Amino acid sequence: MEAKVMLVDDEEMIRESVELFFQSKGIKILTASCCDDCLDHLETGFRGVILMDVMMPDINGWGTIRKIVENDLYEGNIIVMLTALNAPDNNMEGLQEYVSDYLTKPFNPDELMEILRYYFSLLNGSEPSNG
Amino acid sequence: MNQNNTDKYLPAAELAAGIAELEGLLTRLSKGDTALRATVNSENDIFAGLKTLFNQLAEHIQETSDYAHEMAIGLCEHYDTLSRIASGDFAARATMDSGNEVVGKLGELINREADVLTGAISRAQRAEEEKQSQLQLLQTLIDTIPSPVYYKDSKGCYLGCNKAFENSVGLSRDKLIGKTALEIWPMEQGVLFQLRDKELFESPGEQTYEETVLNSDGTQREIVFNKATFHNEDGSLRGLVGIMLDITERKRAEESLAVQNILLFTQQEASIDGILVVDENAKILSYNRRFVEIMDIPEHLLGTREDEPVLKHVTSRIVDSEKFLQKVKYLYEHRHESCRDEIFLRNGNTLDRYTVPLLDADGRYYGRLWSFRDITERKAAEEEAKNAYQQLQDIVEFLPDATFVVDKDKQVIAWNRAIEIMTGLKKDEVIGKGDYVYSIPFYGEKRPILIDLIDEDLDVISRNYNAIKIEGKTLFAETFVPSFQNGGSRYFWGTATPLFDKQGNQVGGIESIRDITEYRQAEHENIRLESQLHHARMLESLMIKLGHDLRTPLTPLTILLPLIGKRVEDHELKKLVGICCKSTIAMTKLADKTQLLGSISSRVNPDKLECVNLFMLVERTLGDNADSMVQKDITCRNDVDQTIAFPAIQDQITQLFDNLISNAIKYSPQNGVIRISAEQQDNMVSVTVHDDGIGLAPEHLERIFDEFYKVDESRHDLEASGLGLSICKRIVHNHHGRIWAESPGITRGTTIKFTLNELCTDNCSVKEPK
Repeated sequence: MEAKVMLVDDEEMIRESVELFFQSKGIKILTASCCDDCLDHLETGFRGVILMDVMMPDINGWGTIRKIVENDLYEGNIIVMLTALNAPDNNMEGLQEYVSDYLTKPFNPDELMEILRYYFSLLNGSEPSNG
Repeated sequence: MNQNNTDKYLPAAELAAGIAELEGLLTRLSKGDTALRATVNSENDIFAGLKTLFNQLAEHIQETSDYAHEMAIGLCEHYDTLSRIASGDFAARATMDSGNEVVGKLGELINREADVLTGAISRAQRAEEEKQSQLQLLQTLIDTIPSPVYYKDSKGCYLGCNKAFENSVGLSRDKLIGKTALEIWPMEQGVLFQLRDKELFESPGEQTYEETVLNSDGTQREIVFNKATFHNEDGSLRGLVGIMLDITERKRAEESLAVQNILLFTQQEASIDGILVVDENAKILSYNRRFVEIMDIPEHLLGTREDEPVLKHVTSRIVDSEKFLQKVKYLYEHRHESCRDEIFLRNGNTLDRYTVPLLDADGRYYGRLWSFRDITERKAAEEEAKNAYQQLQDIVEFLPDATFVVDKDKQVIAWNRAIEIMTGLKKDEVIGKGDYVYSIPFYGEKRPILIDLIDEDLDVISRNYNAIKIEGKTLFAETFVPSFQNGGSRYFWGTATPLFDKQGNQVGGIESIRDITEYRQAEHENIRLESQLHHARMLESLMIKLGHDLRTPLTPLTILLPLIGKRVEDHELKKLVGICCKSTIAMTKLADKTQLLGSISSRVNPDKLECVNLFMLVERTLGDNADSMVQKDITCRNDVDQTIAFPAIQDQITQLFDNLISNAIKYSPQNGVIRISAEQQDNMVSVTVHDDGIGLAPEHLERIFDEFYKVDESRHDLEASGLGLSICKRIVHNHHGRIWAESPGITRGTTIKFTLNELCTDNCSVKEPK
């Protein structure tokens, strides 16, 4: 089964816990710890919902979106930003149109599932598999 | 023998006549010379004496001559008788022989006549002796004349001369008499003298001329020859007599006098002053061209040499002519007085008049010298300077800043209204005074202030002044006066600059003083407000960051705990996971709260002030960081002065040192050395924290104090919050100080320096140290 969700976050704890959660739900998930990993997954064919952490070293979430767009890899994806900031982010300038939603850390698993279900339906009209 | 008597008679008479004539000639010469050389007294005196001598001699000779003449007549008569007797001598002798009575009588007669004759002869002998004596006297007399005298016969042969002439020619009288000029003078000279003699003989009378004569001593002498012919009784030319007057010295004196005159004249003409010299009879002795120019005197007025018309003309040109005339009159009456004053001409010019009497060494008055200098331009310049000075005074007076001006002797020459108000010291109390009188209102004592330090080195100035700035010759500085005018403390900002004249000479200085106490207070308040604002912003940033960092570890808990809860079958375990979930939620809420707190700016609470002993505080902080130091084998030297103690917010200072020391440890190499030193000056503590670690590039030196600024740009370093130095900056600002970093470059260590000011004020109590 092809993965429909990709989590981009530099925090291993978060990657692992989210992976565990999706596994428990029978949903296949790809994880990336940085921009390059994310781009690799996209170039090898990933299309789906991307959960993108904003604050990362080197190239942050916004920089990664910019690369995705620049590399013509955006088409067929939905991006949901994961942020710990309540304040507006100056780096998002001009990139808001590529972002479909925001989730503030720490996010509630039910809330996450709800959002994913919604965007999966938008993508293919298909429900995420319960495994 | 009778013939001899007759011969002797004739020269005597002739001599008498000759001497009489000679005397007359000398008298005339003497007179002639008086007219010719009226100014030479010594020569007049010689001639007057000579004349007297000759008069006496002439009288004497006349008497002798008269007697000799009388005697000669008698002799003549006897000679006739004796001639007759002599012719009848043969008969007489015969008679005598015959004893003839007639013969006897004749013999008696003859004997008687012979007696008479004997008497006559002895008288004639006496007269001859007398004559010789008279001649000798004459010679002695003319020898006494200092000027050479000589006389020649009509052929130009010398008849006689005096000693002076002998000396002049270098020959004795014996060798001169009977010689011509050609024989005794050098050829050229002799020819000339003969020509002159010839001229005189051709037109007898008197002759005067000047000639340069080579004296026997080899010197060239300037001689005036006075010559006159003398004549026989029948009027025929007998010879000439001459006197040589040596005027060499007089000529030299005359030449020297002429040079002196030229010098004086030139000096007078070259003078920029108009000069007029008037004698005691109001006759103009001298004036110069400048005098004519200054007074605009028509030439014809000066031609008369009378002072009166000139004075009248000058007076007409004077503004206050009456006063001027009175002064002139007074000065002419008071001959020994000098005077200097200014007179004003109707044409607007001003003259500096100076007058002195002409007095000789004995104080005899010869007249008065008047000197006039046109000082119109100088007066105008003075007036201009006076006006300029007044303008400066006016400007200074109305300057809003307290201002005073000193001259080059540091005496106050201007003290404006603003400084009167500031200091309470009035102009009258300060103007014209020196010796640092101006410092008293500020410091209560006489001492140098900013205006006195213009030429001093920065080190000297900085002993009493802060914020020193030097622009060209102008000095700007700030000073703090703890007790001004017995009131509170004041901050003054002063500017002092030297004043120069056109030639660039320093002629004084000007200082302006501004009371900037309120400005400073406002500035302090501003800093305080700014630091509070900054603090608030920093806290806000800190809290936001804290929120973020809390949320990251909370995320797995939030996700995984419910998952665990669902999978756990055991009731007890389910309950425990439920508690964990609740705690996670609480922590999330706490993060929210922290964010909320961060957004609230906090104030420094004076109650939190404690007396901080810096040495002890550093020791404690080093103890707290001991583990990390041991790990890297770092040595830390606490060089802080143990006596430093000051009121501060202890927790903040601890945080400050903890941040700086932990930073220093973090960036130090293995076996690195950290050095902490501090010194206290008045109310301020200066601290230095030095490490020999990785150092800083110049572009980072300022930015490292910005919130979240990280040199390595890595935000993933959990140990580095990017807030440490921002917190330090905030704490330093809370203590009214400043913080900065110094580094010679990458790998060459970093020095963090900062100052802290005591936060204690009069109304702030300080807690005892912990």
